[in-house]
Amino acid sequence: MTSSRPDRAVTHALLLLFSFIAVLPIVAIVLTALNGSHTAVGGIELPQPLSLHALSRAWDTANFSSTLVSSAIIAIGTTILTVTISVLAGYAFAILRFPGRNLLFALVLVGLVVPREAMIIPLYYDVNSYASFLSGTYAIVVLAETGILVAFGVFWMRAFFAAVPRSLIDAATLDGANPFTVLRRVLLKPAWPAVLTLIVLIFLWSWNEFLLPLVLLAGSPEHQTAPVSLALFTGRTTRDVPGLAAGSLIVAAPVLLLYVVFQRQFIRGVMSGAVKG
Amino acid sequence: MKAIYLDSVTKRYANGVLAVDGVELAVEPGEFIVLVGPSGCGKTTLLRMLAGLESVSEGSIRLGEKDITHEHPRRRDIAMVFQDYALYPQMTVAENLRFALKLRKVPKATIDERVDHVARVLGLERLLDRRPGLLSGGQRQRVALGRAIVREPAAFLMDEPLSNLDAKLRVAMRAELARLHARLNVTTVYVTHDQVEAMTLGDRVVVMSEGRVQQVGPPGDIYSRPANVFVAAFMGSPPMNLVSATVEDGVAVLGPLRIPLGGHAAGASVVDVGIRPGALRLAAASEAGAFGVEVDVVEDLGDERLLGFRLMVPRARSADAVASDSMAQGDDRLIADEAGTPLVAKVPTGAPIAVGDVVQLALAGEVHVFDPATGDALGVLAPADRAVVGEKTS
Amino acid sequence: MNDPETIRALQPSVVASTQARERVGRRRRDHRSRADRAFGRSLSGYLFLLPVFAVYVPFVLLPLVHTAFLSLYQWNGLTPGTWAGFANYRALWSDPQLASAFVHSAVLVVFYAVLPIALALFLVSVMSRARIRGAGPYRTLLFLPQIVPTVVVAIAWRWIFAPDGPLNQLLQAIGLGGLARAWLGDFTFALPAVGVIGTWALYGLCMVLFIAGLQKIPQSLYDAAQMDGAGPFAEFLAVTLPGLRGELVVAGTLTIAAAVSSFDLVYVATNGGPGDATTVPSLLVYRLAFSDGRVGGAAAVGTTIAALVFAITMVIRHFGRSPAERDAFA
Repeated sequence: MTSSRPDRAVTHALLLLFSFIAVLPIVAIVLTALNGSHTAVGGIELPQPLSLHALSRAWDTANFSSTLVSSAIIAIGTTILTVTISVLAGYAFAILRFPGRNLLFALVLVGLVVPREAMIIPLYYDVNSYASFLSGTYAIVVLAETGILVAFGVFWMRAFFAAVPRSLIDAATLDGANPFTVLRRVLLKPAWPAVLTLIVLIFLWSWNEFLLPLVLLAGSPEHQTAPVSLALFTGRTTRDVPGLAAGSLIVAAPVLLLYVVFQRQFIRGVMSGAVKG
Repeated sequence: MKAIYLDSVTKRYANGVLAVDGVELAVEPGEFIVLVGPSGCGKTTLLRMLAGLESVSEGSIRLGEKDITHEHPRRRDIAMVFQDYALYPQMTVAENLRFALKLRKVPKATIDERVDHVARVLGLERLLDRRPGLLSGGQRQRVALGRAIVREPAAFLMDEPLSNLDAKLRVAMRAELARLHARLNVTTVYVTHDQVEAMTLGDRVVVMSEGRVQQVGPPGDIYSRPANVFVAAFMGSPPMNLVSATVEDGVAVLGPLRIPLGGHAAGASVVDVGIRPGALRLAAASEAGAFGVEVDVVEDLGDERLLGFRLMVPRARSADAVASDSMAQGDDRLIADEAGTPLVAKVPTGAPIAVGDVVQLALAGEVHVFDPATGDALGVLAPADRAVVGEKTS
Repeated sequence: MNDPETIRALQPSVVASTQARERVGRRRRDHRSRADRAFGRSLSGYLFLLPVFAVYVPFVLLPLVHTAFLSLYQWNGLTPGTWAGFANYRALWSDPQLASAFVHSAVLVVFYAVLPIALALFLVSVMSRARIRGAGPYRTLLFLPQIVPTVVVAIAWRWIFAPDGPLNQLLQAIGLGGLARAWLGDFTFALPAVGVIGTWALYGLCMVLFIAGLQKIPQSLYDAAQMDGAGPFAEFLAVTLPGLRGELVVAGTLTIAAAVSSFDLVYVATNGGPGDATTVPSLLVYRLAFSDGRVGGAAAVGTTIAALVFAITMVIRHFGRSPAERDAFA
């Protein structure tokens, strides 16, 4: 290119700067969590002494082990339920023909823009009034989260199935397969990457879910999820920065780990799903 | 004064690859010059250097009197037509045409006048308010042309503008381009990999390979006086038959054929001989110089037929040295094996010939002689100045 | 009836009726298989949708409707409620506390949507002129804020904004110590501070989106713009911006929706404080419904949030129509 164009180095510099800023607060948390002192930590300093003390303290104090288990139960439950439902519905919307298909799909898409605040109130009160056996249980949280997340799940799986060459399905149908068999035998294997991405995304969003568990599990703190517990813990201990940081690290660790392993799935999932929408 | 002058233009990439190697070229004002060659030969890179979209590593480019080697594209007074047309999708045809002129602050009245004129010349009047998404390939191509024409530049650059069109449309647009050029008479540098386009459109043709110019000249010269084996094999369809022949007493021996070389061989013991398919004709068995071959492929093209046969002669050595890609384009069947080298003859339609028939062929056109080591042309033997002494063999 | 005339007269009809009988038979058979097929298809289609609607209707759609319904009542959540008509909605602009919450949302929209998108557009316009390969590792880092739980984000930034936190330390170090303050506790700066957190959380997402979008814009368009004589700004307007249309729509929708319903972050970072300085509508919903016993009011706010998000999405999609979509309606 002619000399008036900015150097590639400028692009790299900008990207580096923006990436650095994006990561800095998180790195700070990690470093602080590993800091040995009890007092409020001022700046960003290398942990001295480097210790896991704060981590173990936070673990014991806030009873994080059980909150992590709660989060895991809910996230796994939501993921299994959401993904299963989404695969079935996405397949139906993409491949099968039936009256009202487009209308029903549009109805599901509304769920993509529904804010949680608009549905949480009746969810709480109605469950308490009409299905009190559900209130404060993992089940109600799983069901509520699934309800919200299937909108994306269905959208995602439908987009995938719609891109499958029709000939593959026609061939199977001619061989005598019914719609369910077509799904199970023919499409599940090629669908796996899309399903994996969905699993990873739904787990992430369920793990990070805040308002729903906050309200729905308000009456049974023993079932509360890790992020909410952490928020409540924060209210009580504003000075113990390493402790808070440690708690944060514990709560964020599972999804961070998942991210490290499945980065490509995460990014591709959110981006291509978003753009196709 | 030349319209465009390229002086030792070279393009070297960071990894050392030479995409364009010391190209010298002088383009006359109003000339339509075609750069042709296989993919990777450097023709597109050269064009982009002319446009200012690629930097020049060594050498200089002059447009008229002005040295434009390091000038930004917008200061070069050159317009370009892209292979994928590159029309701004959100703008209407009219807006696409006007864009460059608006950027240069040309007065509105002039813009309107020019756009109207170009629209009429290219038949775009009814499409002015449409967006490219609603146009057919041919229409988009004309808008791309219009965008270049409306700028009234010193030169046009065209990067394979017809290659995305279907075959019939391509032929029609070729004629359109020729007519436009005759009318506008703007210096044009045109890049293509299609040698038919090169031969039909160019005032002169520049054959390139591996970053270097192989030959420059009018289409007729390129065809009948190829400077080397590469040019000989690349231009012409079906490609020239190229075989290796031993020389005995100034006579090239290729299987059943004996061709006196009349001094062109200059003492070599082996030469490469090129015979275009059209230089072979059907003959009667009794003719002097006729030789019999068994036909193993027949392709009926309507008014002509292509007959494939084999001769027990090796392929031309220099042809093997030249990148096999370019010659194998579309000719994968021409792979030599123990049955001999496959060759092609182009004969008029006539009495039916079937696979397996034995026909008699005779030389009826020019024979090209090449140096087996370098591939350079050693000479061309016209039918008149050689007496072919062929021995009748089976 | 056996005379030749009658027989001849009847023959075509016999033939015809035999043919007709065959046709009917065929039709009945076809009908059965076609009906079977259509029937089978319809039924199984709905069967596949049963699970999704079994969850979606009772846990999303019905509550949505119910919220709207509740917004028309005054209810404390315990004793039976009373009809209020649109009183709760009128309160949204008459009650200063409620009204200011929406104003705060509007401010957050600037931080959550306008700034991140502007930053991302700037980055991409530089990238369009100096393309690099291997933006992969940057993508991973830029996307990190979207992965981390919002609680953790809030905790991290509370520490950054703390009176003795790194931001103030940095200001002191470069001699601007006079600017140091308790950012999240300051009546004027708490909201912008929350906004900054949002900008940080969302700019990476926008960048990743736009970088991917940039790669889909053909280089030849940039070449053509160069040849046409476009400078960097004209190139941005003529090629980059239109080329990122789809990504802009997505970024706009996601970021504005995040701004309008930003509960998690505000709850942990400031809980609406100091005073009401950072109270946002979503926080109001929570407080009104579960602390103040004003469920009807909360429902009104909730419904308004939903309506706003929906309306904004529609507007963005309208203005973000592709040339093809515009042409379809021309």
